[in-house]
Amino acid sequence: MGIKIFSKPSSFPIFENFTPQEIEDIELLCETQDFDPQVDIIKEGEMSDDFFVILRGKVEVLKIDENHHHVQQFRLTTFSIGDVIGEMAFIDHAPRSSTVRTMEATTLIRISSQSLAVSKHYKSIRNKLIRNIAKMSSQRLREANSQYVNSLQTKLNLVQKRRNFGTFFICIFVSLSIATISEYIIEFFHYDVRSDVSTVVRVIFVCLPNIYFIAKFKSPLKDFGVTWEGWEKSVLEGSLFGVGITGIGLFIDSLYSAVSFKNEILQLIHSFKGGYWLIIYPLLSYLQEFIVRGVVQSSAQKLLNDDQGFYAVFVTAVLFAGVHIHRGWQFVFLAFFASMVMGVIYLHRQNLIGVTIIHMIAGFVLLPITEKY
Amino acid sequence: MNKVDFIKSQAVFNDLTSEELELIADHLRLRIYESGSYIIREDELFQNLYFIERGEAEVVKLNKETRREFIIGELHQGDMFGEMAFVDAQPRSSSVRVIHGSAIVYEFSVDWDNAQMVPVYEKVLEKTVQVGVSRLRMINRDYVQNLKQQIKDIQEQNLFGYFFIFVVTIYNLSNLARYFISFDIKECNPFSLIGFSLFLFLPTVIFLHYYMNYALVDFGVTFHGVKNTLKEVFSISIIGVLIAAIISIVWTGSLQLGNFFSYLFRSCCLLSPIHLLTILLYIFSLEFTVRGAIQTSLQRFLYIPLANGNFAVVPERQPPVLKDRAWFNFKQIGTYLLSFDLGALAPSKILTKWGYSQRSSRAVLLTATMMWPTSLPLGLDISFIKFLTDIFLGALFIRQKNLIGVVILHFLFVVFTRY
Repeated sequence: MGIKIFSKPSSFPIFENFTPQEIEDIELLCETQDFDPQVDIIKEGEMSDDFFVILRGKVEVLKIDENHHHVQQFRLTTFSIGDVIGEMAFIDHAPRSSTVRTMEATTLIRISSQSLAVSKHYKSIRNKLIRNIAKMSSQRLREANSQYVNSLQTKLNLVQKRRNFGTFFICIFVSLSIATISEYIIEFFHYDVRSDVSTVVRVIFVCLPNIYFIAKFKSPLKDFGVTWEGWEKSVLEGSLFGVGITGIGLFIDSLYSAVSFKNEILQLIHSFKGGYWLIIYPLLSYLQEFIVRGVVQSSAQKLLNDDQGFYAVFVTAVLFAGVHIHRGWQFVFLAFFASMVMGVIYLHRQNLIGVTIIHMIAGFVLLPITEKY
Repeated sequence: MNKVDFIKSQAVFNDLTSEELELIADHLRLRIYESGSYIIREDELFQNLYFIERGEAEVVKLNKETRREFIIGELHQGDMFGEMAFVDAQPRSSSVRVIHGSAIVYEFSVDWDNAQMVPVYEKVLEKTVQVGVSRLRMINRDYVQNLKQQIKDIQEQNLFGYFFIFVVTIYNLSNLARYFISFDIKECNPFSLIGFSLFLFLPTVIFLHYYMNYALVDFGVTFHGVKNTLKEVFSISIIGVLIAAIISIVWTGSLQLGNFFSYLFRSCCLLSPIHLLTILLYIFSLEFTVRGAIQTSLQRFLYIPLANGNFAVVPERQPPVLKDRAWFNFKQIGTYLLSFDLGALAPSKILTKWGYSQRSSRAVLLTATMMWPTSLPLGLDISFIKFLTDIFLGALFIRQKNLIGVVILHFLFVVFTRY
């Protein structure tokens, strides 16, 4: 026949060191085959000693895992022009260990011992093939080892993420317990739960487990939103939304308590306590926002595999509302909705400044009002 | 074993003539390696082949980015290794390290420039490649196995995420509910009890049905091991009554056993059957939610095996093993306290004898912490008692894996302490 299959045999590593006669023998004795895309060339479990050299196209090596629920496919690697497939069975005569499927129209040359046995160069061809396949599979084993180690690393990272989730879970519930119990302890000693001193003490105690959580993971503070990046926009947003939320709160309150809007404002100015509101409250707000938005929300987003972040915003809002139960259920609902808004803003801006300003304005106006209830 | 005998026993040298075997014997040296020492090291440029005469070794590869070692295979008596570099003369792709005592290893020094030896190498080559190919098959299998495991891990973590959201919401809602529902066990108001049970029970069942693919057995709804459970419950309740009697005697300062038992009898008989049934229903739903659902899920998620079947991951630091004198190690106790891992402080022998794993205590303690504040309206002292009983019941549930026991005990406890 004498069809020239290999325009440039030297570019095929499998035919390294072959003499022109030997190449000719292969061209003469081995057949080429054409495959459409998405066709299985080799099926896992089949018995065959033939192997293939890719002349054109691209194939993927798959491990297919079928059980009664579903089919899972794992791609081990892909091969293209010049690569050899099915060489493992040629060496050890074992069943095929994986499936090879064409990704595009592919031409192969099938090389089998039976058809080559006629050649008078058979022994030399076979030895050279084994030599070259040896190098090739050794290289493939190296790649497979690296691939396996990388996947073990991913697995380890997953395990660590899971452990972090466990710790996070514990921290959250210890915080919640502290929040609930502190209410009763403060009342037990006949202090007012809503007084300024109680608030400061409570906030610090509730935050403690979360501070332990941060200390354990040694992430940079920027991950928790402690940064100056984009502070101008944050301040603007914070002021706008702060005034908005406060306005809605005041409006609902004036409807609810039948006090005129003007009187509300007057009452506010009357109840203003300079030192607390100007110095301690901003610090307290920042600390609260740091824990709630910075630590809890961003950790929840990471640990819940929540790319959009809405689950994290929701769960944070529930937690945030939950620690305010002592201020009455009206405040709980307000805190929940305010936290949803703040959560979305933080999600967008990744900066604590804006949400702290909202917290400050809303707290400054709405806290004295809720003391009526 | 004699050197020549050993060579003949190796499949790699099967096809060789006796002269060639002698040539190989000249290049074969016996070496002894201590446990933990490296026979070959990653990235070294040697092409020697090794055969294990006695002992075991593990194949270790370093992830260069994270500087972490992973075990990717094991070698046993009779195994050959080092075949990759022998074939392609590239740097070693992984290290081989001796485990479990010392290993006796034959080292076959290889030099491809030695013209006399090259024909022998050529003959050995085919069998060597067979070993390499079978390793490639194995590593591919392990790789796929590991990927499957990862998919499962991610699915489980996502489930736990839903669980987390669910528990947080339920916890806060039940705290908030106190402002709306009058929830008072002392009053035994059927409406509030049923309301509260439905409030806890229904969302849990719906949630579990839709998100977690657990079977009912996993939550302890089973008759498996019911005999043992009943036996244990019987003895525990007898001991409990005796302890209560002793406490009441000490408390009142005089022998009033008769009074104590008539008191018990009264508290049982004064309840109408409907009341009893309501309490039983309430307790069953509570135990199902708390012990069955929450504690079991926590236990599953918080217990993380670091090594699993085919692949072993070697962590940088081994998980700390507690020595007997650890009670004096305050730093360690602190670490365990902070990670809620008190079980790790108890002697492991006793724990395993009673059917506990060291890690199961975390779930018990955490569940008790979560449930403690829900009874705060009844007072700090009662909540504290609830905390202790929760720990006790949680531990019992882990041992029995059956809700019947905890439900009966909880029921008796509630009925007897009503006055």
